[in-house]
Amino acid sequence: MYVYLVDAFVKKGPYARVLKTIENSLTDAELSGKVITLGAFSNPKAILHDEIRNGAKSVVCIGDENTFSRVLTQCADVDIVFGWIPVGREVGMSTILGVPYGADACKTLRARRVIAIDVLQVNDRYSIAEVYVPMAKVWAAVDGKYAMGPKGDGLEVAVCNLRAPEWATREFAKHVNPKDRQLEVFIRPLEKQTKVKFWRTRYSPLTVIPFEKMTVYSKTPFELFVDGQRSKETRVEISLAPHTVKLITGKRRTFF
Amino acid sequence: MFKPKENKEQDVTEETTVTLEVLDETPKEIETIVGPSVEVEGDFSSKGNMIVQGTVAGNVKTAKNLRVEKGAKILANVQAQNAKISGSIQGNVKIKNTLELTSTAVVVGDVHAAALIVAGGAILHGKCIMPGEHVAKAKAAKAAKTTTRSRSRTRQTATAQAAA
Repeated sequence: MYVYLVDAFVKKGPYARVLKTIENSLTDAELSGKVITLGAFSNPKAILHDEIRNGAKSVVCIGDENTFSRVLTQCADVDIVFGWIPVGREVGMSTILGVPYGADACKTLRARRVIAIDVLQVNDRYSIAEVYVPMAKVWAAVDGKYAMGPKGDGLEVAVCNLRAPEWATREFAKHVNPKDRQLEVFIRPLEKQTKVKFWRTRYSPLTVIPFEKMTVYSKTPFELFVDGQRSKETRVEISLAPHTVKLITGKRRTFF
Repeated sequence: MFKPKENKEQDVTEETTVTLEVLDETPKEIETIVGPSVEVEGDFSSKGNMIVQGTVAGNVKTAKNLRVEKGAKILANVQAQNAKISGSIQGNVKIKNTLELTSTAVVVGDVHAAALIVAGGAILHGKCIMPGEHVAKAKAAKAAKTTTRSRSRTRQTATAQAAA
């Protein structure tokens, strides 16, 4: 049985028509199920636990990537198959997963290519795509053996699961594989920042290190983005979660 | 994607000049790269190939190949299967197969390698230990000696038991 978690914004404005076509496509594909609206104060984990008790086998998020990552960061440890119908402005992750926009995603759901991918545990949350720390003077302790820090003013840290950060070249991109049970951290230190007419930032070559458990810490709070969701921390522990998450992906996904 | 929008004025053309072709090229190989603007404190170990361009204050150990680039510094012992050193190392270097010191290499410590290549201009302060063929022969002879001794001992005990 399918459960559809529809983000509240999809029911309003320009996306209401898209939702209508999605509903028709799902009915045509015989994928009808229970529809639950996900409000700002809804708890997806509690909803999923209730629905699993009622016999749900798959949950499909209808919304943008914030909706999808909001559900996954809280519910990645729930034993259920996750799907996504991208609707909204920010749907960049859909190309990685090979899921087309709107009603076309119903074909992907119908095909049901389920793969299990690694999950990152970030303090008490989960992440499936990326943990990113923007430029800050932070240190990273890896596997409890050694610590890394910047020689200069700061560095950017990215732990990627689905694809390498935009600033990494193809040479480094091959390190990222969401099915290898291995994590890699990409570190880009700042070389210098000069102001002539506008700010110009130069970066040093990248550092890439495979790890099992890493702690990023600083004396002052630093920004942290877990699958795009922003928070401020002084210490964050990143490790590979013992379980994987089952996702419905398309034929054109960018990883294998 | 999940990243906040970057300033478009940022100059990223000079990043990442690292080439990996010298080391093992198998795509699924784990690579560890320590960039030049990164400082590492503690014992640094890896299962795959390693490239050091920055500073490591602690032991460096890898089961595969190690490349210490020009300008890199390692302030403790180094252990690897093969190594190409262009930076400076203050500590003992223990390499299972081949150690190559390029013209910019500075090693202050003992070197232990099966094969050693030293370029003109490389600086090496320390003992050089190379377990060559004669060492292997000596080891084999020693092993043979111990087996013959143990055989003769077993014979003696067998005859003693028979006599009793």
